[in-house]
Amino acid sequence: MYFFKRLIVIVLVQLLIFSFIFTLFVFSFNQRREVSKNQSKALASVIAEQASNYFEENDNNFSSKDFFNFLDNQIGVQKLTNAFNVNPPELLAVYFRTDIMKGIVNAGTDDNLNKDDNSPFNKTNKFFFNNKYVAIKPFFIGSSDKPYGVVRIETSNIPILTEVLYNNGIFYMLLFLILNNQAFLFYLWTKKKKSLDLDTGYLKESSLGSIKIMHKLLGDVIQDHKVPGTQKNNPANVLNIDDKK
Amino acid sequence: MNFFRILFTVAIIFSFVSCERLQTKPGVDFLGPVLEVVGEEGKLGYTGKVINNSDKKLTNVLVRYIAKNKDGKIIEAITIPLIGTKGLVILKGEIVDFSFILRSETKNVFNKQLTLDYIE
Repeated sequence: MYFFKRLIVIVLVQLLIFSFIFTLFVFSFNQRREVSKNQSKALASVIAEQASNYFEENDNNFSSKDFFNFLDNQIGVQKLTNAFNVNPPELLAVYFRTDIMKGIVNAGTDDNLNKDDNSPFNKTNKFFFNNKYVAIKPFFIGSSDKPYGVVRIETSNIPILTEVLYNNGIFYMLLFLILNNQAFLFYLWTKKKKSLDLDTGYLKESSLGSIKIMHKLLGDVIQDHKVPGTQKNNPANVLNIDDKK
Repeated sequence: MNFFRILFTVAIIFSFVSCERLQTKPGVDFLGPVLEVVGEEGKLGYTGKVINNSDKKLTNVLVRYIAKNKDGKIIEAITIPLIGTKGLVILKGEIVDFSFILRSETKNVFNKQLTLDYIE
């Protein structure tokens, strides 16, 4: 029962340390995710602007390959990838309003073609959290009030997760060791001092017993080695405990 | 002496927790985002570019696409081999285009997964 209680305390302390480190990890992850969200929003705005330019010139002559090459020429896909560094956007979708209204495609938007946060198209739950971020930006042609379509960008949060672990892994490990060390020092500080037993002084009964046994054994050994006449020749070499009593 | 023993032990532990495995190795990657559009027949079409970032030429580079419905079940899976200037061999630094169209109804596709696979 004594060891079980100790084990419970150790497990609780470790859980406390892990929860503290996990809080730090979540804080770092959220910070990095916010940066990624802002990047995705900015990119969606840039591509929506380019889509407006493209569709004004090529209204009835749309080709996805031409549009992709147009984007590559205007802003450069290589630059896009470099700007995002860790988690570049995985999927860039261009949907027309007519297709969305007819129900051909579900873009994860509301009636005004703005992002619908509750739409299941904008969520992918894995590892107990939503690991997909979707930025949606409508684009217009000419002076029309209604959007011609939407630009939708999907980015995954998993690369951010691994990046935070990669960059801070050693820090979390060191923190774990230091906090464990601190917990052990705290245990030593609060450890109760042994109380003195008034009946036997500073020695416990078990200690007295062992000393008595040792005393008897030594006495027997000395007795066995007693040779008549030796004590007289060199009395300083042998100590007779029985004589001192 | 004990100090050096502890130092040695800690060094061994830290060499195992260096998180190097979390860093992605150079290989083939998508160059920029993959463009998704709805085609004339109302089917989803994909266009993109792939680049060989490794120091070697790679063979049998495949683009794999998996579409899932709202219940998480796979409704379509496509594998496309990439063909470069030397056929199925993609040279170092070479950029290859790809495009494909799904057969499934667009409105049924809830989750999409695009991956790259290759042999060195």
